[in-house]
Amino acid sequence: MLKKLKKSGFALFMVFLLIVAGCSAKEESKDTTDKKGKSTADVSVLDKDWKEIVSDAKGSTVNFYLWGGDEGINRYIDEYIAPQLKKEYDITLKRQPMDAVEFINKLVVEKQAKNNEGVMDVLWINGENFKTAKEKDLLLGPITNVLPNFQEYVDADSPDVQYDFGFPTEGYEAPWGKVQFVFTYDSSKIENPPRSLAELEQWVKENPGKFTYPAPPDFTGSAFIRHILNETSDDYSAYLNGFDQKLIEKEAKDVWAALNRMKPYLWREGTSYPQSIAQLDQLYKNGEVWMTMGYDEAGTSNYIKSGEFPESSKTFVLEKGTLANTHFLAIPYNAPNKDAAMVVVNHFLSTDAQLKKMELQYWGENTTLTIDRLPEEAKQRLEKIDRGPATLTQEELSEHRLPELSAEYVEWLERGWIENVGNL
Amino acid sequence: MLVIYKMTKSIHKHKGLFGVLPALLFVIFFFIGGFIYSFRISLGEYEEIYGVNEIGWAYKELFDGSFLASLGVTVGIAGAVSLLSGIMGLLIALLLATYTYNKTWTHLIFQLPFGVPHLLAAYMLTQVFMQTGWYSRIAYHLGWIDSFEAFPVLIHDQWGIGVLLAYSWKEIPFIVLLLYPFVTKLLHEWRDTVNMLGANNSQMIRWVLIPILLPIWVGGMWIVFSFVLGSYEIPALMARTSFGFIPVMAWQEYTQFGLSRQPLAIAMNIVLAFVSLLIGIVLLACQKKWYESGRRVWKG
Repeated sequence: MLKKLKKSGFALFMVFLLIVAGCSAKEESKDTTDKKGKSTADVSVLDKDWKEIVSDAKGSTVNFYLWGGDEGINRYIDEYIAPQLKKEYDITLKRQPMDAVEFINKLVVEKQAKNNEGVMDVLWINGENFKTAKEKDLLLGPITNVLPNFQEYVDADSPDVQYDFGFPTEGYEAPWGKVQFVFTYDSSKIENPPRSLAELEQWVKENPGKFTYPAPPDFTGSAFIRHILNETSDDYSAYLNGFDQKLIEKEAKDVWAALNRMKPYLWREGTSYPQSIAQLDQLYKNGEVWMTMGYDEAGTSNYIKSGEFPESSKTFVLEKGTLANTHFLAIPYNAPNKDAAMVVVNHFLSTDAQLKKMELQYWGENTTLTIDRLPEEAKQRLEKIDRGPATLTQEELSEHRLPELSAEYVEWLERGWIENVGNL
Repeated sequence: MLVIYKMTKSIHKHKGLFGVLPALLFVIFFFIGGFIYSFRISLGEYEEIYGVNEIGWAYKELFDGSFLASLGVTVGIAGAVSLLSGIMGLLIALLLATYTYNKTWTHLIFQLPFGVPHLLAAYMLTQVFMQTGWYSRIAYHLGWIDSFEAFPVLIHDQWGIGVLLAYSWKEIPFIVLLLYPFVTKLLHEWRDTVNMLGANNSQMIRWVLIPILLPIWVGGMWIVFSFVLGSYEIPALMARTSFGFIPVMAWQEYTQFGLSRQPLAIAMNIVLAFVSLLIGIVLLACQKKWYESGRRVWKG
């Protein structure tokens, strides 16, 4: 018995030791990072010469954290970009699928623990996540000044580069891609798709049960209700300035009223909504509803190609425009391989990488490079890219493009929908 | 001498405690630590991460009518699922043990749902039961219904039938697996005695099986209850939007509205954990009383 007691006593002692060791190790690492934090290692990558960055980046491994839910995007990175980086720069790119909320949380905690040597090198972020990251000082700094491809091909003054959901980017993230919201309809069932809220309302009433939208806070459903705001608002551009509670409170009433007027004619008589865009697409695929939507102008063409949507699917934009947003790449403050991370971000902005990304077999989304600035052969290549049978022309899309609202408005509307429409 | 005697005596008395020590440490390390940390987040601490707010704001915000209604729905569904799967599970276990104890394939059928994750179960049931799903199409082609809309609404429906179906499909096999070995053993051990005393099968179930099985049966139902209370996938995919299932709401708060709302999401889960714990304690108290009163289930 005594032997047993000794044993457990020993175990307890070991646990105690472990705890003590754990604490002291933490203290130690804090000390060293404090010293490191003041050193110039972090700052200098932004002041370095580009050639020096490229040569210092050789042989590194870059961990790229991004949402991993799209097979085409994953293939684009693994099959196209990663081999290029290996060949041209001797950099190994590792894709780490993770939701943005999660890796931002991870960074917050790392910052808290004063951990100056993290694991993430490049992040795919935008909107709310970028705002959090910038406000909490989780990013490396104004990286775009250093990137040669950004300097050469990107129009730094354009609003889709300067603002990310209404929040100034100030060069802390580099624009990776652009998407625009479009509606999808089955042309074998609908001849003339509605082009305004009034027409949509009328169509919904004439075709009960054939329309619905994903319940906000689903990303796409949330964007749908912002379109209703654009349709009902007297002056949508007023929302592009800072958050104004009074303004939105006043004007949102019309949004809820419009949505509630349509509600009895929606799928399931508006008693339930698809929980995600995937569910709405499923309903569309089965013919249970006749329209769907998506924050990606080429998504429908992609689905036709893979056989998920009927061949007769087409897309449309509203007369008053549909929302467009840019998504970005950023480097965290504690990236272990900052030089290589810069090279990777720059490579993603190269004409070849950007044009390849537009091809339907990979991703199909729009480039962030300015067409006028591209070299002649790239322009020719761009014209030849087939963006799919259901994708609208570049002119039609850009003529109907709306800027996004700030994250505060987005959230306010999502909550408001749950209270005023969803839970009624 | 006396001291040593007393020491050995007390060690002897508590020797069970040393045996569970490793497991206990494990639980404390991985569970209690996390629980305390989450609880502190939900109270509004760690301002550097989640923003400055008054202590306990998340709970204050929670306790309004709509949250309490959601809590009622969540607890109600969890209760319904656990009762339904408890009763069905017991019946099936009895049937299996009585009639098909030598036919392994029947048991395999009931073990099959184990291999299927809840998310996939929800997806599969949605595919077959939605209005344009598989069964609806079959019924339509056979001419039983005139249009897809005539098929009953089972997914995203008014009363949570789809959710109940999906959970039953997953949880009934769990109860069966839990009870089946006991039922076969009890039948084997008691059948002769019971027959000799002239009782029939239903009397045997009532007076022998249920009183012996009761603790494990109720325990199993409680496990199902607390699981359903906290799980997200099935209600997220299959419930009506305005159902207000708390795990779904907590997930939305946690992922969609930024860091400052995360304490609220954690507070919701703490409330659920509290409910489940409370019911567990009540059940334990009942069990204790029941043992003291001679393990009687039925009067008479």
